[in-house]
Amino acid sequence: MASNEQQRTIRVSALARVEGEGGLLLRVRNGQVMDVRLQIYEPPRFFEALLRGRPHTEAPDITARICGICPVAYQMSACNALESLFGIKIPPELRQLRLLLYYAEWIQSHTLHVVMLHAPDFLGVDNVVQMAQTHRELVQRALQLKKAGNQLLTLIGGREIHPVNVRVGGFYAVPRPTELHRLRDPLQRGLETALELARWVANFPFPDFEPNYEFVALRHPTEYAILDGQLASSAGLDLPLSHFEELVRERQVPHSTALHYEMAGRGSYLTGPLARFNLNFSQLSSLAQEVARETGTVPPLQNPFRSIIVRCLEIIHALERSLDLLDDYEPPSRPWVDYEIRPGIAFGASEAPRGLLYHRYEVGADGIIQTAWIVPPTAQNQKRIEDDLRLLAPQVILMPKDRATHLCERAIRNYDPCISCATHFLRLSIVEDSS
Amino acid sequence: MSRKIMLVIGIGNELCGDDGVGPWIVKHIAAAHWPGVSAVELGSSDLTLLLDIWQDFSFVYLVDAVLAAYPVGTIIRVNCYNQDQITDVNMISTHHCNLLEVIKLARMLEMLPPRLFLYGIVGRSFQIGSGLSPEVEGAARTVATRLWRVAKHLERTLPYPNLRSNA
Repeated sequence: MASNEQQRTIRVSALARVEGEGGLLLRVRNGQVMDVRLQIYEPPRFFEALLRGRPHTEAPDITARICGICPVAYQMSACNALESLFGIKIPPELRQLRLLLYYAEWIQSHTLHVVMLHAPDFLGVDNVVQMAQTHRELVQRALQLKKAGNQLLTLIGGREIHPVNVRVGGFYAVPRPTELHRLRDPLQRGLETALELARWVANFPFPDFEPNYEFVALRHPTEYAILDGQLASSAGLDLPLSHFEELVRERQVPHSTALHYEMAGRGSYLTGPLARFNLNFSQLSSLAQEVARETGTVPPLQNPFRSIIVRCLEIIHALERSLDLLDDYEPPSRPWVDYEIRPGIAFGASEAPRGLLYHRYEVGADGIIQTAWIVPPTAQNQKRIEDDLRLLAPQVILMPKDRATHLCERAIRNYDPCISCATHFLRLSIVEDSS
Repeated sequence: MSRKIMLVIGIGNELCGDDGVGPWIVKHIAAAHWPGVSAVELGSSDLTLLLDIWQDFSFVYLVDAVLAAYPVGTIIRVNCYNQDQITDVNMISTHHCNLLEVIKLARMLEMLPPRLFLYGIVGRSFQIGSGLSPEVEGAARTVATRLWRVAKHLERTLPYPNLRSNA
């Protein structure tokens, strides 16, 4: 290195308050950013390999184990894929129950991220324990909101952790109307909390940062897409899901055990709440749209730090829709529909709390899975996170080390990254070093 | 509302080697139908769910694999009301939220059960694959025996004194 050159390395070796295990390396020389690497160094868990040779009926249960936070998303994407291949038409009553189950997961997952993981960033405290010292009632109410989502998930999913009631073709059993109606009050109270949360977070101070994103999400003709839909992007794409594998490029990078994804010929893209919000805003529930306008949160919304508001709006949407579905619920005549196995390639997707979750299976005539391919949202966002960090790097390198680390962490947390899904593992750590 | 007596919560992913020791114990208890004892597998889920799960119980036992500078299979018993013990344990686990943070949050919000203990078992491998290493399985059987003795003791000593006063 020449004597007049200055090189500084910022290494964040354990990322707190994100799911999974990862680290960040930012290398700068003479004021120029040389390298940005979001390092994921846990070994992959190869769930795809675990699925090979297993009966297709086990896919919803095995994939639900990939993530303890969003198991329903894995179950739904798996079912969508296999049901599409087998030509199964899910009756409206069963589809509505699946929507309810998925909304329950959104409520839980988003509330966890907004209050327990993300809000402390904006309040200048280390964690929710410190936050509870000054916002005790709010934390208590948020826990009640999360609990309401959990109760709904438990009732429809069969148990609170890693639900077991979903099967290809429907459910193993369906709830009685009285059981569902018992949850109306907690969900209604949760809606009041969610409205308060949205208004609270909308007043946080947000860094001035608006990259030019390509947003990618599912789009449904009649609803804010969550359970299924076509592929849509802010670059104008509106295509059947069958085009997914032509549109994205998968790439291995040496510094991560999670794969990187980009749009072929265009680079990184963003999937998740901000993408859904920008692409499908008009399909949010009326109350969610009203609060969005009231708080000045309207498309186009490019600032990823404001994704915390969007998650609150999605909680409102999920609660409002859930209450409607509860009121309309009539038990289906049968919990599932019968089907015949067809060999072939199955693909399906849904909108996990963190973004688009794609599954593909190759199924034999005997119903056995021959190959599986799972593309989680955090893996799709990983390159985009690095691009955000690259854009932030010029200001980051001028900051003291602790502030630089904090800003980088925040930029990563904007994505609510579930590195446990992306790497197929679950834990993180942060390290710092300079020279 | 009257409290239920004893709850065992198994934390961990049974598809990640020794991380599955918590679920292993839960399955063991469920298969043996211990009277008066509830057992829940938390898996690799959000640990703040603990606040909901344990709220109705008087005696709660968490079982989790831990990383520690002790031989594989070592059993570490922690009284979660004991600040010194709890900070001594390396709470880095393979689960997203830090168990220590969740316990601190519960204490602050007065959501801890009256009695809360952690059985940590030092694991060897957390890689993909089902099944425990022999040392960890042996430790799991020991913990199960100890929990069984606790359950029998509680059964004999009913009704309890006011547990809240000791919390």
